[in-house]
Amino acid sequence: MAENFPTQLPSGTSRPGIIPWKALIFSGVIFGMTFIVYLGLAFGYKPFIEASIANGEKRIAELDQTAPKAETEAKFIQFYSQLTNISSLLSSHTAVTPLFNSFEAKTMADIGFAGMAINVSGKTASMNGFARSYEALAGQLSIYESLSGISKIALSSARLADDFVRFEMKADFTPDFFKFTPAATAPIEQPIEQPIEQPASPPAATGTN
Amino acid sequence: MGSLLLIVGSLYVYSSLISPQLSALQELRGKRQATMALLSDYETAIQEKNRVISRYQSVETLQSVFDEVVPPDQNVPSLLNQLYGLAKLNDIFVDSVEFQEMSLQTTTSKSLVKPYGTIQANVKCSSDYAAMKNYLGAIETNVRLMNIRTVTVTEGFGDNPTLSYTITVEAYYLTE
Repeated sequence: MAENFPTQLPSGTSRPGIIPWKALIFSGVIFGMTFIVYLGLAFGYKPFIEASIANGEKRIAELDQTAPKAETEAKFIQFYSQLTNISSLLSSHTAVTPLFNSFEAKTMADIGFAGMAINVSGKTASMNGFARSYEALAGQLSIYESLSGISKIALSSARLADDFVRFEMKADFTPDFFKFTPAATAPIEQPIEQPIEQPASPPAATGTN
Repeated sequence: MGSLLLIVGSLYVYSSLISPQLSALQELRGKRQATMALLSDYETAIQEKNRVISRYQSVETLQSVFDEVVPPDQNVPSLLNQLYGLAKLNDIFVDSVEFQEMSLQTTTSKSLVKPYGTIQANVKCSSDYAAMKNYLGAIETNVRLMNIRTVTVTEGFGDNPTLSYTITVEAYYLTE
C-alpha cells in the first residue's frame, strides 16, 4: 500500500501551502511599503514643506523690518514728484521779455505803441500805436516781417488821425519764441536799430521804446 | 486570507491616509512656491527701494529748494507776497491781484508722480515801461516757478506815460 503512494509531485505542479506563504510575504511587503510611504509623507516631507513656508514667511517679516519707513517713502515720493514736475514745467517755461527786447531793437523812431496784448499760449500779440507816416509804418512792417521769431505780421487797420497814422497790427510768433532761455531774457545791450525819441505829442501815447 | 487582509489594508492606507496627504502636499507645495516667489520679488523690491532711498537721502537738502519752486501746497499767501514784493522792488503800483484755481494736471492712476495743480493770478499794475519789463523779467526768473500767460498793456497818459497793464501768471503746486 505504502509502496503505491507517490513520493514526488508530478512535474508542473507546486507544493500545496507554498503559494499562500509567498502571497502573504508579498502582500506584507506591499502593506509595509505603503505604510512607510505614508509615514514619510506625513512626518517627513509635509513638515519639511511647512517649515520651508514658515521660513519664507519669517524672511518676509524680517524684510519688512528693513524696508524704508512709510514716512521716508512719502517724503521720497514728494521729492520725486516735485523733481518730475519741475523738469516738465521747466521744459515748457515761458518768457515774454524776449518780445520786448526784439521790439526795442527793431522798432524805428517814427513808430510808437499805445497798447499791446500778448498771448503766450496762442503765441500772438496784438498791438496798436502810431506812426509818423504811412511810409514809416510800411518800413516798420517789413522790418518786423524779417524778424526771426515772427512767423507772420498782419496790419489790421491804419488811419490818419491828428497828423499821425494810427494802426493796429497782429503778430504771430514761432513756436519757440516764448520759450524761456537765460540768454533770451537777458536785455540786449546794443540794439540793432537804436530807437530815438517818440513822435512829438502823440495822442495819448505810450511806447515800448 | 491573511494576504487578502494585508492587500485590503494597503488599499485602505493608500486611500484614507496617503491620498489625502498627497492632496494636502500638493497644496502646500503650491503655497511654498508662491511664498518663495514672493520672497524673491520682495527681496529685490526692498533692496531697490533701499538703494533709491539712500540715494535720495544724499540729496535730501534739495527738498527745501524744490519746496520753493513747486511748493507741496497752494501757499497763496507766499505767492501774493512774492508777486507784491517783486512789484514793490520795481516801483510798481499794484492795483489788484485776483487768484483762481485751475484744473489739475491729468495723470495715470498707476503713476507714482503726484500731479501738480495750477493757480492763476491776475495782477493789475501801473508803472513806466522799464519797470514793467523788469517786473516781467523778475516773474520769469522767480524761484517759485511762474509762467506768464498774457500781458495786456493799455494806453498810458501824459508826457511821462504810466502804463496800466494786467499780467496773467500761472504758479504751480504739488497736489496731495
